[in-house]
Amino acid sequence: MKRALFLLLVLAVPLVSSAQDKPREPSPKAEYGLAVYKLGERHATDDKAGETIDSLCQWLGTQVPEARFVRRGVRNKPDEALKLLQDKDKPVAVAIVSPGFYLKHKSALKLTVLAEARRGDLDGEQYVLVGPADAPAPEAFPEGAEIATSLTADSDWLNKVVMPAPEGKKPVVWKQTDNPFDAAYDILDQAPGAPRHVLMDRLTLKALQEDADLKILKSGLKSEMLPQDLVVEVDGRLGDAREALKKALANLDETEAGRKLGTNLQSPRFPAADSARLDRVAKRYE
Amino acid sequence: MVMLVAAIAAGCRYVPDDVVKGNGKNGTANAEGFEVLVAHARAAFAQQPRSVESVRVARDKYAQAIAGRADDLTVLLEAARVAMWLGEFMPSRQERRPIVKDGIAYTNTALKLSPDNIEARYCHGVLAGMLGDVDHDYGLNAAKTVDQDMRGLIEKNADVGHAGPWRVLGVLQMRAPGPPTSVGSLRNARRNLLTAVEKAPDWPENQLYCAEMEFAWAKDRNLPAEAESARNRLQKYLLGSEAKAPAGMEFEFARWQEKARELLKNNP
Repeated sequence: MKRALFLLLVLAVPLVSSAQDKPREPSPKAEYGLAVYKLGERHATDDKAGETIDSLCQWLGTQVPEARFVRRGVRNKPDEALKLLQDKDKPVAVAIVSPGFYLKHKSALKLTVLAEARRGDLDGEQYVLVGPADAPAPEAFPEGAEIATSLTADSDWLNKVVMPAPEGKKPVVWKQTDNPFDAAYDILDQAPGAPRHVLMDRLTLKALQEDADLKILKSGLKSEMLPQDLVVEVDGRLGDAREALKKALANLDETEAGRKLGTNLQSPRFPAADSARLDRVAKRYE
Repeated sequence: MVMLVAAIAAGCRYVPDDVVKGNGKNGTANAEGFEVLVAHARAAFAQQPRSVESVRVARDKYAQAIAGRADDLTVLLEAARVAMWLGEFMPSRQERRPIVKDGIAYTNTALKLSPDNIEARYCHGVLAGMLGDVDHDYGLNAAKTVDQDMRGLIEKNADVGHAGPWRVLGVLQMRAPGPPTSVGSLRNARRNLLTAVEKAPDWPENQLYCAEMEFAWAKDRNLPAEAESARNRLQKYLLGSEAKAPAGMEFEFARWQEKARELLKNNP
């Protein structure tokens, strides 16, 4: 104990001297809450992804003058994400959310889009139906078919945007899977309760086409090109920090630390969102 | 032994491929000193009842021995096994990290001496998984390394670690995110863990992770019978009156029993 006290005193002396040399204390950095909502990602939790988001916060703090970013939470369920963004005691200033969440809550939560993710360095997201190897790939809307997806928590996004039923057609039946690959294996194995098709994003489809067993499955109907996850500001809370934050996210891949973060976030950078694409999709929600 | 990829956060560092310096060429310790250190290390690891403290002593002795001479395959593998043990049972994540990294250097050295060595390949994969667990920056590459190492061993039908390759790969597939992020697949985990219990039914660790998989499968597929099978499995091999620790594995068995109770608590 005595030794610890001695060490503390020794360490404290230069700090005190240094403080005396300075004319005044630097003003405290403003704190900005940051939250993440990732639709359909079982591992998007504080327990599993908190460390990565803390690294993002820390890095943003080095890029945005006089700002300190703090993780408010990582969620994979829309209700829980909504609660997080509504919390007045621990306000969220900036969040990464799914486009469906943004479109649903943009007015109530006063959300402004700052940037868009580029998962796998791809511009936009396109979903595709994958089905059995021995049946014709579904090029037309598969009326009433059971389709596995990890996105069922946002049925509006699925039914209004990703795969809306044409006029007079029966909608498809969405079936939740935490892992689209496992749903594809069910089709391959002809397992009891296997879905007729699986909905896959572009990167998952690429992985499927490289899988020794699953590559024989056939892909068919595609969604239109849709927005990826969006970085949004909540209720104008970023204030003066806004422009520096946008610049930092857009140029994430220009430094070693940023590139590492980009790999961890699966998006090498977050450029400005494609507003025309977003407006087009927003009309489906009106 | 099984690596504990509890959390594969996305990470982008590569599992180190370094070897112990002076491998096979520049041994400096005299033969007598080396033998004495190794004998102490073996005695410490063999001590019963086993404890974290006694295994740490074993680790230190092996490290001293290998620092002087790194060309003895048997000693390198023993040291790697000790690192695996501490990587699994040592409570402090921070303290596990350098031990696991040293263990990887031992297996890299062993693989340089004997590229097709099954035990070295197995330890390498397990330790890579442990590195991903203690340092999430290695997560993705660690998962890839475990996947490659264990698949290679499964192709050879390698008899190591009580059906270790099937168990280790199965646990990874059970816990990791699915493609394209990682190699997670409950279906593949099920196949591998059922193979592990078929190949080595008396190894309690196989039964433990198979039960964890069955609980997950029961939830995923809404199959209550699978959960019942998991409960019976845990009773029979880990918690019931007929469940017994393998000889000399009382410390490890007690930890597996704790995990079994935790599983039952979380899956009422």
